[in-house]
Amino acid sequence: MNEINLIDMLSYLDIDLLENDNIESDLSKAGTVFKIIIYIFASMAIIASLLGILLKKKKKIKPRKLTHKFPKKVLKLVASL
Amino acid sequence: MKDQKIVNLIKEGNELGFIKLADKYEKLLFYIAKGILGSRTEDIEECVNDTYIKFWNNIDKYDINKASLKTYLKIIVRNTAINRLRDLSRHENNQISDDISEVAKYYADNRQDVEDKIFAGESIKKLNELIKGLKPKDKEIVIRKYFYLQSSKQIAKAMKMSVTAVDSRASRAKKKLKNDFYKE
Repeated sequence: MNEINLIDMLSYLDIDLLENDNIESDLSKAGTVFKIIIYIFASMAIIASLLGILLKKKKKIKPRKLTHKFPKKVLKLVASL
Repeated sequence: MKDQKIVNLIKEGNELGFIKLADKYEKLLFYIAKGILGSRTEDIEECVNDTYIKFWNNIDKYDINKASLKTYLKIIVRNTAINRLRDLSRHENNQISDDISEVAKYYADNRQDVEDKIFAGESIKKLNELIKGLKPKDKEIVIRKYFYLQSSKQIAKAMKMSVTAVDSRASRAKKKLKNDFYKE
């Protein structure tokens, strides 16, 4: 059986063998790089939004620093004791 | 649109059926025809148009339960392209495109030297069984190379292998098929 005969005989290739022959994936591969770039940018945008939300929340719940402001007179009194 | 609906529309003679068929499968059909015929745009277009006509002419024989519409069309376009390649090689000026695969070129250059054969049903059945028995990667390489007439470079890119690996596996698979085919 030479290559010519093989090519001619494959005109009668079983349908089962062609149902999942992966030929269609050749077409979708062309768009894969573009899709990857889109996914990366979309992920970055989502992460940036989430970080933004988290930072806003953190600012809101940040406890106020309690500063005791003693009057100067009291401080002087304590210092003199 | 689902394939059954497309087929029903075409059977009714509704133009929308053909529009939807082209929308869904034209890219694939062009890809397969281009793989065999190279950059001969006119021949590729004619091949795809002939595919639609053949499908239309045999629509009553088509059974969606036996073969998906996609597979049925793949077979028609492949065989139509191979016939076209054969006709082009017989033409006085040998109008084969320069950018076809090495296997397509070999087929075009040598086909007229090989007698037209009518293959016995048993031989076809045996070959199909032998191909089914190949390892998955070898099976895919054989189908891509000898059914779709893809180049080793195309196959290597699609299957994420080196060209050398593709050639090596194709050669071994072809040898195995030949040995097993003639084994009693």
